[in-house]
Amino acid sequence: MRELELDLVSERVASIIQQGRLGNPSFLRCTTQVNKPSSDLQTVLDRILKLAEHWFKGAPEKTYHLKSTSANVITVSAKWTGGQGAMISIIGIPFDQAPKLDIVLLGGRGAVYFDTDGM
Amino acid sequence: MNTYGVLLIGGKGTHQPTHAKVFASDPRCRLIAVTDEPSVSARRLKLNQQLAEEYGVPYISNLDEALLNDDVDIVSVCPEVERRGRIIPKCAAARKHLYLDKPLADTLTDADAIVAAIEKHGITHQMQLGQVNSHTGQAAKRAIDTEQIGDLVTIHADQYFGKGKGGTVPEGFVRNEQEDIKRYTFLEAKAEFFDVGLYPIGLVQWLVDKPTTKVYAITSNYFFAEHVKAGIEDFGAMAMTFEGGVTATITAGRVGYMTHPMNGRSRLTLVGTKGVITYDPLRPHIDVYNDDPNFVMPKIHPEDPMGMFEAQSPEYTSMPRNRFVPLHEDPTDDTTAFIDCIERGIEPIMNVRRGAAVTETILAGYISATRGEEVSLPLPR
Repeated sequence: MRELELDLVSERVASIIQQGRLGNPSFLRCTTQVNKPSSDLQTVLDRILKLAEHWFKGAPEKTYHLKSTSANVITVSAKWTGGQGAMISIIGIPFDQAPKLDIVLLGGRGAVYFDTDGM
Repeated sequence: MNTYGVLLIGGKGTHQPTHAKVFASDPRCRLIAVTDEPSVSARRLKLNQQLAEEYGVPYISNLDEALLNDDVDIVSVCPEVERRGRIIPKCAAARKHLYLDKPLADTLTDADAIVAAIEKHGITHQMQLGQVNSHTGQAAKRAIDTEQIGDLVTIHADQYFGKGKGGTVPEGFVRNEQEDIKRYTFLEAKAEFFDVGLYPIGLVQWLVDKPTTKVYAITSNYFFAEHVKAGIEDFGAMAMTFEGGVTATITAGRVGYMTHPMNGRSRLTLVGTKGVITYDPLRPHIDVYNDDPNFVMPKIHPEDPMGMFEAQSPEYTSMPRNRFVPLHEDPTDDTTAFIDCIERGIEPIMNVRRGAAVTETILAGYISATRGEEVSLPLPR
């Protein structure tokens, strides 16, 4: 996952939140494409959930796993006691394709977009 | 070329002025009148009359009488959603072509009654849902039909409206959804999972083209005090399962004027057995930077704080957001696509059955959000 620089994204966004530029961070939409077999999809999902926990300051109260007929996609919807929510999907792609990260973090008065493919 | 007489139901303060503008400018159409039910409120009456005055056509205060006019070929139906269940069947019985504002209805009973009435009379009809005729919607459909990504596995779709003054939800407010919703439309706001969620749900259902069998949804109040006060949500997210195993997720809502460089995120990702494609009307785009002023939030109209409708006076008109110029233009707008279908004698994509399926799916979403559990479709009748 080093190629997606998740740690850097996590800290940069946390700093934006801390500056009050979003208002209360409220909803995370994340669609990530990672190479299989090098990346285990569940591990990547857990890391994205950790990002959300960092930004929302706590673990979700409830998660829902959307069952798929494909082992190449995992999707989770999560909800926090404070009302925050997330919809996260991890997609496995062949090794010769570039991994991608598409994140939207909505706050009460602003939004953060991070898309490795550009807006 | 035929010239179609167009009757408008509903006036200012609805989406009708937007539709009327297209009908009025299309050489195949001419506006006949504006009408509505005789029982409308004084405020609604005034707004309806204002639209009639703008186009110099009569206002007919009795819908039944207006529908008897043989010069009317098309009815553009735009009353509040709570009145559509009784108005649309009347229009269908009058055997006019029907352009239907979205959503189709607010209850399952009304949606079923509308489907039955329209299918009984076999008229050309379309529910407004521009995404299916958009450049990205059409490209996505071609990609699926030609198996460009192999077999379809899942779809992710987002639709956010960059309007309204955000950041006003009372601190600490957490939404508890109610499945028995009585009202979606208020002067100052609309239920956004219902009103905006309809777009990605309708788009995804059309792309998958199989019945939705299960949903799991969450609804929230993240942005606007107006929605909290009215008891309705401003945002929603839903996971969907279709017959055959294809899945989808959608997120949708009204997220505030200042949350996006343009009018709000509109993104679609198709995942297949052989690849992934992402569509976004702003990808690719051309950036334009010059000494035009940057966008600032418009003055908020007290009767339309969410900027849902065309501004009723210049002081409330929103500045253009045009730093990004999309490379691809949409081939047609939704209303013109409907007129094209009448001309060519073909059935519009977003027919009443698809519109009713969207309503049923959203209603199932509210039940899911209330109970915090997966809900199966179809819903019990």
